[in-house]
Amino acid sequence: MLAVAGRGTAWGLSPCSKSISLCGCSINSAGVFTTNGPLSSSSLTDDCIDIAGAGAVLVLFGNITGLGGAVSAAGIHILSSASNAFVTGRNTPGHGSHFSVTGFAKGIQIDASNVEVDQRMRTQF
Amino acid sequence: MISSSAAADCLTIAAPHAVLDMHGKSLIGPGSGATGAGIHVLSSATGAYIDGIGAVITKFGTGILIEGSDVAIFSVELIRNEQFGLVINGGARNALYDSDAGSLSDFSSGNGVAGVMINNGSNNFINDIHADHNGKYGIEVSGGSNNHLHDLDGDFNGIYGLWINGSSGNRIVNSTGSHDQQIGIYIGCAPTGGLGGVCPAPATGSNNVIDFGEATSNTMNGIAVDSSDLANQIGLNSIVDNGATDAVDANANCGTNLWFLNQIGTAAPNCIH
Repeated sequence: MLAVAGRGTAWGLSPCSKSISLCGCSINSAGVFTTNGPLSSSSLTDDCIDIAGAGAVLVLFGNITGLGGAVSAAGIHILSSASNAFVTGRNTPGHGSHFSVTGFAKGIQIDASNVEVDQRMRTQF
Repeated sequence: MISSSAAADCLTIAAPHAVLDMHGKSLIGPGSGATGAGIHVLSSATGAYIDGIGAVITKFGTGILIEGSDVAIFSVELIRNEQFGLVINGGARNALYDSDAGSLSDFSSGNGVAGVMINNGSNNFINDIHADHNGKYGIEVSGGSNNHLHDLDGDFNGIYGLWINGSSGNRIVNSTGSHDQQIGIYIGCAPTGGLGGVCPAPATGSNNVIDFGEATSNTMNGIAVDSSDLANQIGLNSIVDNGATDAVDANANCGTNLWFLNQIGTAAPNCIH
């Protein structure tokens, strides 16, 4: 869908652990993955986190920050294989603050179907 | 407008892209025994629009019946109908915004069966509505897939608040199922009784998401997922103060369902987090 993206898994990002502490990894299976705090990318071309596994869940516990400038990578890249993935920048029920993805060519790139990206506050009433 | 016919629809929309501005005028059916619809949007009426600001549709069999696609309805009161407030029957990409299908503040405002029923529909969008005090269910999604239910209240209903019945890929976001007579939010095929209840038409649902919701103070469970309903994601909900176990999953070790970062009083089995 978008021609220019980070190199992502095509360049062999290592699999993410369930608790992600560094940029440059790929979620390859269904399961619940969390960042364990702020992440900073040092790469212009590698995505911080790729999601390749269908039905995977990623919850942020900190901001994700890229290099800005000439960066071509995405903060979070949801690959076409990752249908029904779920990503949220808020990690507690109810009202609360949420985290951000900044300094990348694309904050979040979605190539898959039926993905949910949610950090909304309840708006009714 | 007042209808005296139990079986006939009050208004029918057949033309594509027709606009009905109700100008705050109400449609009132005959009440007991009614089977017709207040407004019946036929399958030919693709892209129709209903502006219901200030209007009430009441005492019909169904308040609004949609059989088309790409129909939008804004701000209407669908209350005290004999069966349903809104029915989407097989359509896609229809939307209901900012409406009541049973009102929170009026205990007698509910519809006889459900506030909203989506039957074999896909990619429909229900946003910012109350579906409270209905006879059985606040919202029922039966069959179909990928419907989006955002900012809904399914409270004080006779059986379930929000019911996903043999439907997959639906998104229930920022919504409540609280103070219901059995279960707040239920994924399964039993019309009553929840987990292990009798399913007249056995069906399963998968890849549904329930997030940032509330399921509190229900007589039985807050959120329940029945056996063979798999690969659902239930996260970041508040599920507390229910009469029985707050969060339950009938699949061994939750199967492939993912429960995460919920605020839970009691849960079974321990794969629920």
